[in-house]
Amino acid sequence: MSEVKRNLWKLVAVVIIVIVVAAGALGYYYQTLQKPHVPKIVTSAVISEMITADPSTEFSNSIMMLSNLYEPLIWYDPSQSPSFVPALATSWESSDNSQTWTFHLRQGVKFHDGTPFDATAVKYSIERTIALGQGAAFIWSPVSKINVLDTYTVQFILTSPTPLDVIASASYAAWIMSPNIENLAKAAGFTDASAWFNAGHDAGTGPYMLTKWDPQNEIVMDKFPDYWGGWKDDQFDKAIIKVVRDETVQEQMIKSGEAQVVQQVPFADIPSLQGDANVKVYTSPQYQNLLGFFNNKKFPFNNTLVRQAVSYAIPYDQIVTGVLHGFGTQSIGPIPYGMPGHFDDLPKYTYDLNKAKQLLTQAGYPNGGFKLLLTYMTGDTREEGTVEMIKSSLKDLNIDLDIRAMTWTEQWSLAQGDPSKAQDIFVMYWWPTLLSPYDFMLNLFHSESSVIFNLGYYYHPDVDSVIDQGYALEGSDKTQAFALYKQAQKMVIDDAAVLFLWDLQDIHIVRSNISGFSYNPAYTTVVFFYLLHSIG
Amino acid sequence: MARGIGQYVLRRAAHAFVVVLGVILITFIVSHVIPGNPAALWVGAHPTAQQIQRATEELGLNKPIYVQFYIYLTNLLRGDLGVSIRTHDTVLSDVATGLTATLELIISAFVIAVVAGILVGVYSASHRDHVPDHAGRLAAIFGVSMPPFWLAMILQIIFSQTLHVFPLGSRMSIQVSIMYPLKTITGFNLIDSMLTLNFVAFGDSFWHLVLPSLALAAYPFGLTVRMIRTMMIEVLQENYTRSGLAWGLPSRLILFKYALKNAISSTVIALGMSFAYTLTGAFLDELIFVWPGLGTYTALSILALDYPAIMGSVIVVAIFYVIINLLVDIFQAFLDPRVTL
Repeated sequence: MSEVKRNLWKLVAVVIIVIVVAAGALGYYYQTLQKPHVPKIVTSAVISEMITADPSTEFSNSIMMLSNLYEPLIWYDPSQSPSFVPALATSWESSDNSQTWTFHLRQGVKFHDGTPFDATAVKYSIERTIALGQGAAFIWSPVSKINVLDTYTVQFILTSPTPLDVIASASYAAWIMSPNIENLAKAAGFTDASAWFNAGHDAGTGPYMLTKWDPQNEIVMDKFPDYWGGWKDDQFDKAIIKVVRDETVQEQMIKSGEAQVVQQVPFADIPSLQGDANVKVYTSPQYQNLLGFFNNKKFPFNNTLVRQAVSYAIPYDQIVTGVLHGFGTQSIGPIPYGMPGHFDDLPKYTYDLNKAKQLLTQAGYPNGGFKLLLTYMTGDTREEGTVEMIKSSLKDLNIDLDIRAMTWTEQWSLAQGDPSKAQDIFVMYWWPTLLSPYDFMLNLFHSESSVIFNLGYYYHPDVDSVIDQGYALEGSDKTQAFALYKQAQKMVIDDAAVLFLWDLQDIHIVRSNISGFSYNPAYTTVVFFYLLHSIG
Repeated sequence: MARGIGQYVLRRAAHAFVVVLGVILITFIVSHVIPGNPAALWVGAHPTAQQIQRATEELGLNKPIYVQFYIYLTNLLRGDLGVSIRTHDTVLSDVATGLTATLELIISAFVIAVVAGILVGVYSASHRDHVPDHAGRLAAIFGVSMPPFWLAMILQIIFSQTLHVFPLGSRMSIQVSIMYPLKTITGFNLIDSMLTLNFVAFGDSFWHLVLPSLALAAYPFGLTVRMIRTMMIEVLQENYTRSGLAWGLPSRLILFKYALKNAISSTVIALGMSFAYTLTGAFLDELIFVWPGLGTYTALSILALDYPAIMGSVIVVAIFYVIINLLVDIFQAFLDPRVTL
């Protein structure tokens, strides 16, 4: 290499280094510099990514975003009484034994594309959702006709008595969208509105509009200036949902202020966060519980006495304190604590080994001796801790429990095969689509023609009929309906149809300089950014 | 030699084609043999039986596996990697965005590792059994043996939580990405921001790159130091080195030109393989630094049994292995005239 060439290389290297360092310093300078027109931004870190953005079909985590972009006819808010509160409908009534429902709509509301909101939009939205038939569209199955009575009145005709208020406030498939979406999609060069939505567009009436759609990493929403609810200066101009898949990183982000709201931090660290003046820890009931389905079609859990025996052999209190660090409660029946249809006076199984042994003896297996398989979701530390305690406890009954971590699809397909070869205990969470005990009872305990979520194969026509009667009455006579739901719950508890493990508590950690946070368990994981205000 | 290289590359490309095809076949079979129900994943959390049935037909999962493989292959030849069952996005765009994010991270990590590793390795070897050598070896052992995710968290605690010098994670800060939005051209933030003269975004991206690169650089750094040191010690004992010194050549010239050139080739091989491995192996580093890379994508795809995504990632990594192998071989021939291609 000649001397000139070498010097040239040195020069190039020096130039590159100078550029890199200068640009870095410049960027850092700009970043730390306070600019006068900085928008007010609130960031919420969430553990799981979003997938689709079509309000008619989305049936997963995008609820976190959709609840800020769209509004339903009715919100469900358990902290208020009555719990059904006006959203796009200001009032509603049912007649004809809850087979006809009439909604009176809010006036002066605009969609994000400028289209005014009216009864036609409601009819259009719900009919589109039904026609697409995906996601949670099945909740509308009792609807036979939607009539536009006048600009601000819409009427639903149903085929059977149904609580349409429950359906209209569902967290999925109940969003109202602009009737102009097909035109918007065509104008932007998309084949249909679904493709347009999933490319990151929205057409709701909600307080925020979607501006950046990167579902695996980050969602940015801007405030909708014409929102019918109006805006105050201390509300946020931009709301960001950031996907942060690690609990400890979420914890670091809330501590450092890089996020203003986080959803999931290690339980063990919550006490120290409760002592941190910069953040506030909010706990509330969450409509989610952990269940262990007994395989009702296979020895030994086809025997009610054995199911009951095992139900008495679970150290519930130890699990709640040891695994959940107290952020949960032992389940009483299938409906989680805090949800309508949950009854504290239903019977529950407590940890009582003598009783368990006595029941096993009565069943004809005084010395246990079973070798059983339990499956749970891989990577879920709460499930893992719980099933390990179950395993060690069942040793006392001389039951050898093989606990196996599986991915959800592996676990599920094992259960959907031949029940005689399936797992003996299937551990999983349930949370409702419809805010009604019916959601739990139907999916988990009602007979089904092919195995979907009744994963313990618990098929009892008498239980089925009580559940169905309850739902038929829920629209017209809530008291009677809930009495029937209670009766059905008692039947499955007495039968020890499943292991009722624990009800989860929701935890949100919010920076102290933000006020107005309130968690609504009806809309799982949602942070309603419109409610938040910055202090100072 | 030019013609030799041309022929060699062609031969290797043919070779590579067979390798990638084999990888595709094996991955396809394995990902389809594992019990699971991708159709259920496709429709969402609490689907009905009819919805699952419909999705099974839409995704072609009701067809025999060889038909599915045939469909997959013909689509692949048209450059269509399919649609991810988990993200509902095309695998090609998912993998492309993940890959550029990961490459930006790995390349900067390896630049740090190689530059620092060679300097420390040479210095260590030339001060054998003295304090600098001990320090260098200690650093090397630290680098190869510390789990990257642990190192990542320690770096976060020290530099962002305590000293507030570097950000916790992500490719850019939220403020900057909103006020100085970056236009995506190549997918590499540093290059894109330079091309669009967005210096704020450049500085911010650079700042965000430091900690994750350092955490990821630890292993290849340790590897480089150890290999360079060992090889250098050997070379420095050779007669020609002694002759060079006796002739009065400057020791820097001997170390970095004559000795290093001989010591470096095996290091390059090891680094090349480690580079390809890191494409998906940087998963934990990406997880902790909220880096939207290929490792995270692949890991999540595997957990969800999202077979089109798994296939896509595997194909990309296989192609990278093949290319890097090729580059390493060519580089060796370039360094050492005795090696013919």
